[in-house]
Amino acid sequence: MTTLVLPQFPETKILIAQYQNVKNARTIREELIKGNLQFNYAFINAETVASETHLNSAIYRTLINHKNKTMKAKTLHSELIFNLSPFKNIMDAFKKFGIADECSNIIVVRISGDGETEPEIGNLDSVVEGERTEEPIGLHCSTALVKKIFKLNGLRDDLDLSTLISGSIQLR
Amino acid sequence: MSVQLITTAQELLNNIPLNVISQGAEAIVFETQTHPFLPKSNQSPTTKFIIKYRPRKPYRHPTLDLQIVSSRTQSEARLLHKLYQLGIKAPKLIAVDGPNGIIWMESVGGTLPNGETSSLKNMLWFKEKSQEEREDQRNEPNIALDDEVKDIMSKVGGAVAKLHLANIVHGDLTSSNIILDQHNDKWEPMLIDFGLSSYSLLAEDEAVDLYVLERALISTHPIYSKSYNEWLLQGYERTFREAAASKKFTEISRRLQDVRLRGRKRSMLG
Ligand SMILES: Nc1ncnc2c1ncn2[C@@H]1O[C@H](COP(=O)(O)OP(=O)(O)OP(=O)(O)O)[C@@H](O)[C@H]1O
Repeated sequence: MTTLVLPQFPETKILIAQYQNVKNARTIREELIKGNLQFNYAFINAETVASETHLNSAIYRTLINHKNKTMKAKTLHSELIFNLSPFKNIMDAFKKFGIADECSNIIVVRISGDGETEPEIGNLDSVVEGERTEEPIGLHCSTALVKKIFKLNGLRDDLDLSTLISGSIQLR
Repeated sequence: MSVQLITTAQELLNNIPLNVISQGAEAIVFETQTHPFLPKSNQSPTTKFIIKYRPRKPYRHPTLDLQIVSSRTQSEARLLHKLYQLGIKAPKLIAVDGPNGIIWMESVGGTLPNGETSSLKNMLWFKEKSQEEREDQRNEPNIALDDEVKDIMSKVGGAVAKLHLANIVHGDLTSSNIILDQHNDKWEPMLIDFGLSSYSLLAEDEAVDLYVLERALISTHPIYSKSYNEWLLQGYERTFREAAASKKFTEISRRLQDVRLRGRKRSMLG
């Protein structure tokens, strides 16, 4: 688990946690749909997150869009999932980057805006049935899948995947 | 005026230590050691980033101004990303804030033995000055025209050719918009400042790009520009040949003759 604060947004605390062997992805998804406030996080499919650069670039994009009032989604957490993706449509982003019923590796992010209380990791641990891990982000990524999603297959293979993904996130 | 612009930039880039390194007509360029979204622990303590900021122009209509700033910023950022995808040496894009006119990119280049930043201009000036200050100028080979300079100029030609082979014209090629990056004792040219770049399929546009650089070299490096331009064109042609695009080269080269001729006529008319 890490707490991230981006230099330009000192008031915004970002909690990032990873879980493996998650057993209740389906329940989490159902509670998210119901709008259960205990599930006020971005639940992300770890398979489609290439690296810390990928994740942080999307977080930055989200906070910039929030500040500029150019968000496409209604909440910061859906905006983050949208920004992790190259898609124009939010539902497509959720399908590939959000938690799916069969997900066993997930990344959970909580963005707390100004004045909001920071979440306790204990609360999250009780919501997710799985083991919290401290592995580097990107370990459970399927490179082939990500390349396909971002349409990077025709490109030279000496290019850095994270640089390519981060660039297209910044330009979306 | 400029103090006000820097204050505005500092507000937009809250918490980011900014060092002004250039102030042009359209943009202010800052340097910083802070990455917008990656932790300090991921980078070496000397890593630097460049922030190019296009301020709003108070004399333009606000809506129109926002559109202009935003679209120029986005288009320069898009080009940097495109160049990375194509494997053309240029600064990597890090982040963009279009509506606020901000681009973050990798900082390229380093310092020359005389402490100046390693632009092509400074490099050539450094070489020219070293030659000038030499005691015995007649018997030793000319420093300003040595193999290192020849290699650099020919690589510059190659870099411009790669850009043109991708149907991109730079739009503002000068010896200060070419930065030399050091790789194992060799200098590799990188192009910067894509603020005026565009896509084009016309050989004429590529010829004009070359002509602008040629004129810039003549005015900034008058004594040796003939050799510099010759080597540059050799590198340019070689890269086209290697890409099996000699035909396109011939067409551009023919256009370049025309453009030069028109340039001369125009300067005769005053
Ligand atoms: N990526 C970079 N790495 C290192 N230095 C840079 C980089 N980008 C810009 N610079 C420095 O900043 C100067 C100005 O940048 P740039 O040419 O992009 O801005 P500009 O406003 O279009 O400038 P001008 O109006 O003078 O053409 C460059 O000449 C160079 O010294």
